[in-house]
Amino acid sequence: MKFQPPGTFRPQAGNGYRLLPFRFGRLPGRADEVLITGDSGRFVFLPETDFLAFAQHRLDPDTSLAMDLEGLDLLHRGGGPIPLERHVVAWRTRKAFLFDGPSLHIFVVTLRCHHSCRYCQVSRQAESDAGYDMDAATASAAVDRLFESPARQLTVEFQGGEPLLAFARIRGIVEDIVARNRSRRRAITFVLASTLHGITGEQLAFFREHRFELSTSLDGPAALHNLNRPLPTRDSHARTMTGIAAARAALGADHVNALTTLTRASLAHPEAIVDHYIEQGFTSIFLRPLSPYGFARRGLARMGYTTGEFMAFYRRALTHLIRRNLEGHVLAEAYATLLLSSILTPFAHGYMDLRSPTGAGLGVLLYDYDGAVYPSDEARMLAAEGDTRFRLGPVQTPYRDLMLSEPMQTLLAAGLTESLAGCADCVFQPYCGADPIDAHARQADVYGHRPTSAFCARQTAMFELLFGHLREGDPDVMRVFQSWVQRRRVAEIRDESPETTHAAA
Amino acid sequence: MSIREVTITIQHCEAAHAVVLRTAHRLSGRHVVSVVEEPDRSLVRLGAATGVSEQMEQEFRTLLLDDLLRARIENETAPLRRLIVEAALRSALRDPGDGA
Repeated sequence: MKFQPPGTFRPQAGNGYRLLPFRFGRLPGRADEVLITGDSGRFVFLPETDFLAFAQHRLDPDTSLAMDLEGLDLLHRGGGPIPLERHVVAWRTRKAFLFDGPSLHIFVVTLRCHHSCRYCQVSRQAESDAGYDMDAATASAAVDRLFESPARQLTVEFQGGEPLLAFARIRGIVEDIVARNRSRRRAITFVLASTLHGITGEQLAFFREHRFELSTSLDGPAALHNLNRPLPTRDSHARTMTGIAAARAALGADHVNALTTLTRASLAHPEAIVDHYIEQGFTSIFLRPLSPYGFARRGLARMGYTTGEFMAFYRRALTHLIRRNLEGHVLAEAYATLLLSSILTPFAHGYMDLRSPTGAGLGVLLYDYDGAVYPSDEARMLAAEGDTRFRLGPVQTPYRDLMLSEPMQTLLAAGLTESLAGCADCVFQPYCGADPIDAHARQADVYGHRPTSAFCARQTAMFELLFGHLREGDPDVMRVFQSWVQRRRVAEIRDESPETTHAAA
Repeated sequence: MSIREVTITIQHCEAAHAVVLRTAHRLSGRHVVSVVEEPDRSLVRLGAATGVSEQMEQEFRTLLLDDLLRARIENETAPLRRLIVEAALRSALRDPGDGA
């Protein structure tokens, strides 16, 4: 008597597993391979044949591949109940920001500024102009709104113009917040976005007392920085470095950060910009492209560039950053770190521009110097150009009414990548976000059109670049990426094989 | 530069009109696209400059195959996805302030 092969006695593959929610797509140059991303953010690359077998229920559920896919929450083997609670916890973890309410509250204490930056995206006013500072009543009402927000952890950011020109107002707001917080008991972080030019000892002592984080702009070596951020005295870079040194001495280096904005002139110097940040002792660099707002919009023809040009710059910068980190320097690229954190961990990164639902209004409220409340800095910039459609109301309006206002309804309708055409089935959806204000600014449509969206093109190119590295799995590159995500030195990261990287994702 | 136009006919038994629309949307950044629904089929007109237009139909049909699979997966998994999101939101309402 001849026995049938063992497979004959196993359940039919078609009945052997259920698919769990996932999306799929392909990376450029890898047409025979499919990237699969689950709602939990876990991902895997499969050869086309394996992918089709999996998606079409032709995969043998007893294979190691089926078990691996179950481990990644992409399928559920057998006829038993799906462990719903595990998936619920994973979803809530990735959307944790949704349950907090606005945690970032931006106070624009003045529009006055001593700079005339070529790419300035706000509606700055001359240093001596009157009528562009926040008054005491507006400040007090803004603090009312701050404490109406349900978030337990609040970040209060002071912006301008140059906010140090209205230091007395900053002091008054901080003292008001601290006094009220004795009974409200929120965890509050203060941030100042400033050129740091002319910062005084008195100001630094105040910032130290209240544990401020200081954020400034540093566009690269002196020639580039001075070109982008001109002063009549042509010493903007020197003044910035003097301010950084003073701030570090007073607050500690960990409390002083810098951002770089990239003009066309910057694109030829990725290595020099990265090296300048290392020379100046920074541990993070944020390579930001120009924004299509305010004065920057008028300068785009002269200073702007295409997504392809930006990505060519970014690839060179990333390659150089990886090399320098492997040499022992510590410098993470902030945007790549945000995206990698979202890809390689179960947690939400919290970055306002990449949330779904949108971070505008749900994560941020901005109080302008004149008492208007906006859902983001970009909405304020549009209003300064005359487009006030995203103005939520005057600062005396209760929080609940601001959140139920018509602009918020618009933002909510257009702010879900899960439901936007071109986003809903995108393989990068679990890590990306909706920005209806940006879509309106660029395309005059809050819903946007992904196939022609510069925002989408840049996001897609960034994800393709990072997932390309993850697929290649070069151990050195993986160590650098993990060091950025874990905020540790490369030397402290042990080698991880590409398979481990995928399974950990 | 001259524009070449191709018309692609997709019977509803091959692909639902909603799926055809989804595929056409993907190409709407690079080609001039129009889609018409008839009782038994969808008519897709794609226009592009001569020289890049030759592969249009093949590219469309390749993308359509993926979108058919996406639609099938979505049909199969959407109820579970809805269940997970509803349960997550309900649990958050039960535990206000307890995010994750």
